[in-house]
Amino acid sequence: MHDARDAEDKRLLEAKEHTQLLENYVYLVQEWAALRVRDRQASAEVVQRIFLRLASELAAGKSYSVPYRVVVWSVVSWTARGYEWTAKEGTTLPDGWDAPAPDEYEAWEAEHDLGTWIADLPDRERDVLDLLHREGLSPAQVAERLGIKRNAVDQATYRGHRKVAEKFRAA
Amino acid sequence: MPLSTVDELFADYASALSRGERPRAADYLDRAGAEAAALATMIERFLQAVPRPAAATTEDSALLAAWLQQEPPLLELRRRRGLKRAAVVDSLLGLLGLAASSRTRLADAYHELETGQLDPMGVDQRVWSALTEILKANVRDFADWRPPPLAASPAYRFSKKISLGTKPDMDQYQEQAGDDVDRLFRGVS
Repeated sequence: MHDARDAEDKRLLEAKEHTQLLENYVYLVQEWAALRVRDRQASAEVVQRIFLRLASELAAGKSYSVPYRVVVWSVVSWTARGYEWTAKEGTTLPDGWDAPAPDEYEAWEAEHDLGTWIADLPDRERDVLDLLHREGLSPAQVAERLGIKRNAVDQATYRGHRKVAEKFRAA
Repeated sequence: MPLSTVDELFADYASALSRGERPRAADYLDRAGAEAAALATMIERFLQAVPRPAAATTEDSALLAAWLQQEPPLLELRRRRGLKRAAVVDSLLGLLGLAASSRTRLADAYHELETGQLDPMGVDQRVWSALTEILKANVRDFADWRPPPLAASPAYRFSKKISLGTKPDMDQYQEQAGDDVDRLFRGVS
């Protein structure tokens, strides 16, 4: 499900368009930090540290064996860990860190792909969520593609997300 | 809060994202009350599982780009609005109800704030409100983005104890304690 975005990130990495690459992650990093660190000011500080780390690694020419989103997530996870109330002094991302190895990454990927979670939803809900998230279509475009009313798309979207919520909660 | 409500909040968040909006998880967590941690886990899992949202040409992104290039976001925001610093200071003077005689000190304080030399924690809410009105953006969000340390290089090391900005030299202002500008910008009472 992540293929198109991963390909875009790879192109930006190869073209050394680092600022553009990082800009693509502003919203996600802010959200991830807010979810991990509830204090607003601490969350802002975490976001800055994450981007400093990512920018410095890119500037140093570090290469990665996994998609860049996994790299970003790893840095978020490490950085936020230092701000948790149970954090131990010195909890930080090691300089020589590396993203997950390929086999480890495959297992991670299976669990972190919406396709896995929506596979057994009713056809309408699965198709709608797939088009919205994988292809990035708007609800109106999804309605046109599937030949259904916009209202039906909204209903299927909400129902589908409710079912995904149940699965996440039960996992 | 019943679990079904947590599911509803999650569905609201996920559906907003799928419509191309940029919902803020913090707002949803506030509404989840005691179930905030459960909701946070669900949203986090979701954000990992869906392709990242298409890059939006948001102001946040532009300000991040400025910040990475050692430009203070607040300065970049003013430039994007096409405003001279003097114009912002004049507007602040009026909105904060300060005497004309405070203008020079106000200009200095605003310069320090804009360039990240002033600790945002000491800045009064009235200043943030005035700046939000002048710059048409939630300035408080950006003010937390202090200029990155010049050593933002591969040698950069994390330390929770190191401040990203420069603390103001409070001694310099002791003699002016009680001044309106100090109270508004430096938390000096």
